[in-house]
Amino acid sequence: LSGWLIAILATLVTLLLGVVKADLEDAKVCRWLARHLIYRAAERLPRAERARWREEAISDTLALPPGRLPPLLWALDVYRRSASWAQTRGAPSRWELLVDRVRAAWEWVRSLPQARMRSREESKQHHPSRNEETAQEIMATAGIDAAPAVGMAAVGTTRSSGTATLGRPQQPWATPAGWRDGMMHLSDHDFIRWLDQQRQAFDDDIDRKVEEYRLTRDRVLAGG
Amino acid sequence: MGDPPRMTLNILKVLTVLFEDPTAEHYGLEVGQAAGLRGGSLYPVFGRLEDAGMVVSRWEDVDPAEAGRPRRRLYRLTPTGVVYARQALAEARQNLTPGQEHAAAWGHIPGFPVPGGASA
Repeated sequence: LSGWLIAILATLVTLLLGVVKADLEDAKVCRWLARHLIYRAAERLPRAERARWREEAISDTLALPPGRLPPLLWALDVYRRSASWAQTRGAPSRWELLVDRVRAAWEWVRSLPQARMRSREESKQHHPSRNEETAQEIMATAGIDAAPAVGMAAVGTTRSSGTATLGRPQQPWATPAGWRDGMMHLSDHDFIRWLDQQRQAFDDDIDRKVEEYRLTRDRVLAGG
Repeated sequence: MGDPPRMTLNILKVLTVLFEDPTAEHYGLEVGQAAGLRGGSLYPVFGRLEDAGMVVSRWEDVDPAEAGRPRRRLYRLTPTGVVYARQALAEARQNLTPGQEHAAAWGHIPGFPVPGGASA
């Protein structure tokens, strides 16, 4: 098995090397690679100096004798030594960068609970039940007119149960604030009672409709 | 102008090239090839010499379209740099010459250089 594995790996490496070799034989690819390496090296330098050194290094690679490898080797050397070069120019070392990144990540993790709380508070502030302006905006966007809503609510409550609002004003849907005032103040006990009454009213309504249907059916059958 | 840079072999090589003709301007690759340095070693040296005020640089005044190549960065020794280079090179030559203690130990070898010019 290991023999087969080695053979497969060797084939893959050969193919890969062939591709790399074919690419490196192309001078354009080498120039591109050299330029890319110089850009990456310059990225390590302080921001104010990057453009100058980048231009100078690229200019020098172009002045090298023609060939694929000289510019690539030049750029590789620039890239290889760019970290220490950057330090001499005042850029932070890799270790300092790593420490800064870890510290930033830690601060971010620590700030998550606070951010979540803040987000929750903001969400509450913007919830229609808390913010009348937001509610009106939402209703306006949805094209809901407050007046029909009030009418429907009034008809619904009247038809289902006269005591649905437990003696409260009959326009709980006039505004979100009105709805809140009309409903949200109820205690748990009153709210359960209200739900019971609504359910009872619904059942009564269904029974009445069924009875009406039967009567109509019987009348039609008798007439037919 | 900053403090003189810490003397290293690379700085010495670059100073040697620039000091051959202190008034002439050289571009990076030219100095690098003469000094046997590649970009990774050359540019930091130029940066340090420039910070120390030993070298000044400017962009070449050419039109890349006409010249058929990008402009180059030209370096030249400053008067301070010339004095510093002369001194540094003299010190380096002196340090490379065997001292009395070496002469005492190795002076019996034919051809061994002894201070004062005479050889054993």
